[in-house]
Amino acid sequence: MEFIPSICPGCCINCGLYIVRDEDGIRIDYRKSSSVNEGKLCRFGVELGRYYSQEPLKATVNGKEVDFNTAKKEALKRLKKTDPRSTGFLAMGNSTNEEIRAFKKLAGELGIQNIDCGLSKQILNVPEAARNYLTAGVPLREIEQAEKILLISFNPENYPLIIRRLLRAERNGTELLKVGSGEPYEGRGAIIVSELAPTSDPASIRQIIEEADDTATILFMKPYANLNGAVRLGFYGFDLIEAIRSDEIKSLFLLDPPTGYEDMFHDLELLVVQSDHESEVTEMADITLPSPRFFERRGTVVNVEGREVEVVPQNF
Amino acid sequence: MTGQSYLAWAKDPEIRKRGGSGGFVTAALIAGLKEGIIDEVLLVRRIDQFESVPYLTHDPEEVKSASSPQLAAPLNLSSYIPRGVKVAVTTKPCDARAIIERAKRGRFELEDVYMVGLNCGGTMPPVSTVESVRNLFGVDPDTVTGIEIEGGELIFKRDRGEDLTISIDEAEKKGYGRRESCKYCNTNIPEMADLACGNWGVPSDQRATFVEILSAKGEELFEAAKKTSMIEFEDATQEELEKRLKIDRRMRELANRRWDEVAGVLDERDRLAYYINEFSRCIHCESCKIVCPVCVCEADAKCLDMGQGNNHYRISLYNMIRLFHLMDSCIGCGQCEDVCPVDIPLTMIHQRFERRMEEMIGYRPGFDLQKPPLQKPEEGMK
Amino acid sequence: MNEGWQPKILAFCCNWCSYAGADLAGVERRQMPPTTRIIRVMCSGTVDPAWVLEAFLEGVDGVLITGCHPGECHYLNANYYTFRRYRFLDAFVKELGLEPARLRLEWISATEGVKFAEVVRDMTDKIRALGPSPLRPEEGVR
Repeated sequence: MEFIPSICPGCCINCGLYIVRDEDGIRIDYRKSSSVNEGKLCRFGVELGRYYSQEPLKATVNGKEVDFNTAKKEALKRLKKTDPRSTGFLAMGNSTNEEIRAFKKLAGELGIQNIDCGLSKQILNVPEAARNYLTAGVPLREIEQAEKILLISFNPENYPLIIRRLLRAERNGTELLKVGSGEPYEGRGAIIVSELAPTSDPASIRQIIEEADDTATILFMKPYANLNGAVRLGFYGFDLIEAIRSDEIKSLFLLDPPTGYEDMFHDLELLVVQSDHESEVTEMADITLPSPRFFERRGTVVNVEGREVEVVPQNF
Repeated sequence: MTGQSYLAWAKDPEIRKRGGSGGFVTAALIAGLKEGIIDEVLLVRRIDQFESVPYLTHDPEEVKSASSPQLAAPLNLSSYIPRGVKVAVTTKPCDARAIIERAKRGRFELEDVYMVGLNCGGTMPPVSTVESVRNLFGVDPDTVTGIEIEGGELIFKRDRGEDLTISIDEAEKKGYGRRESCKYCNTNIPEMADLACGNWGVPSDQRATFVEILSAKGEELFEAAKKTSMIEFEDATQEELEKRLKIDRRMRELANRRWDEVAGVLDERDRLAYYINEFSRCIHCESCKIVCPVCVCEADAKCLDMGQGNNHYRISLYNMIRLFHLMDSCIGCGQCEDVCPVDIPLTMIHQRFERRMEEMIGYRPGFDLQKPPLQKPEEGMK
Repeated sequence: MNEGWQPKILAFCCNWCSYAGADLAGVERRQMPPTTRIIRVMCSGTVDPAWVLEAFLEGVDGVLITGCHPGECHYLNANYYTFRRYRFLDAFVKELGLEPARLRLEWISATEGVKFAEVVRDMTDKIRALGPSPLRPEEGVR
């Protein structure tokens, strides 16, 4: 019975949890000493045991199983042959800071400038000087003590572990208001909570930043394990999602794909996928490179509080 | 002798010093392994003062170096008892009651589990306890080397610097202190285990454990400890016995008073509106069921099967079935409330229902292997 | 509260005694308001408390469980289990804050057509006075 303290890769909150391995397989357990969530998990976190018990991905080339080094060499070979202008590197935030950094470096070495974490569209629409607002962290305790909280186009049920912080805030006398898209609001002195995801409207994101003054704090909640890290590392600059859909991009190296984007990749000439489990996307890939399951990686992510958090604490 | 009480301590001065109160428990566990009475011991491995994880060992050296149970690590060990193995485990009353209920439901044989019970006045949530060290004393929590609750005082021990103390009452008024479910728990002496150990009743100048032998298995361990010359002991005096009972009585009074405060509020209110409101937040993560020691149903559970979908219900059928099924099983361990992501006061709610059943039928789950009343017919009715 | 609201009562009737009693009530043309839907079960002991909970969540205003008199159960003593479960359901309903009159247990034999009708009339009156069940889903009963 091995207890491994780790974090959930479901969203930017990165709830603390234990991965427990024994002869029956892998399951999760509740890590009550974790300050962001006190051990509590949403459905996604609870299901991680099942998720991590899935078949590990095998290295393949053209659908045939090969050893890892062969797949790696073949991937590099084919990527070098592509036209960099129509090749992209897409990492949608399900990887560690260290992995994204290496991924960015590789793209650079191959002369590929079309890099994206799925948020380029929204980020490029925000003036460079204001982009730090997109990844600003807010200690969850601060939310509980806020005088006023505005939820702008934000449904807390998509990030369930924020709900109890909002409840406590209300019990502490916080004024909590829900604001729909396009509705007017008074943001002075408030903590503004919204969402930054690949599907967010770039204009709305920009507007939130423009209308906030010095007295307001903005928190953009994000899906997936480490979009904060991806953005802070500068892994953006080209709207790959749009470019793939419009056939501008013919070749793609995809790192740790999330579910829900499968229909995008059918028409690519070259699809290299690095992932930790089998999926619809890995089935259609020309080359698959298996990576360790998230809790087996040694590295860091940037969480909702803006802190760098280890995937597995080194001192354990 | 079963039924007897002693003051006992480890002969090995190292174990005596390390142990929570004289090292009897450590000595008895090691003796159990050495004599082959047990094959494994379920312990906790301390990560730091605010975190521990369970682990199984058959190595007496590991038992020797294991530390005393932690107040700021609220685990229920019953979920980690292996099947088909003779195992000893230190149990708070809630661990022991959970083990009995799980054995009753076929998870393992009770005769394979040697419960070395420990008196308990409550455990504490780790995150708020870490914060209390910062906020109440302005001190770095990393400097804390031990946490104790003694005579109504919460004590943070430190190697460098003075120990930090505050009355438990005061800490709890400020929102710190013990878990909610511990505050109204009225079972402090693990009378349902095989041995009941603690320091209640032990004179303050003596480094010993008060040990009550409660069963044949408890006697086996005690005899093993004697036989392997690991312990010394003397009969508990009448005075010591009474002191222990007095402390227990006082703690139960405080717990019952607390229950009346917290749950009594619901006697006056529109309870249905309250329950509908609390359960409206439920996100159906099912964590409450996963951690509940008495919930041994797996994917076949009725609450899961019937409780899917139907978002138009005022209270989900998942919650309603659990509320009903736990009426004769909830032991008030507090694990459900600990893990609820939307802070529904689940333990208090389940206990409201369970205590009604207790009053009606006179059955308390977790004390013996008798069948739960919901599975029995009503005898002799007209 | 809508006008013309009628209580909806769900009755579980055991095949051997109480269903026959209900049937007799019909045959003898005993007056009963049409508020009660009957589900025939082989024995009151097969009535799962989860069904009673589900019925209330679906929006019924009352649940009636009927079975053979103690000692007369076709399956010997299954109705002793029924009674135990009913005691729990009764305590449950009280703790939940639902009016206890909405849940009722009656022993009705095959010859007690009169009793069946009386119980249905009485229960309907009591529930009519209480109004629609507070557990009724917002969009009404389906």
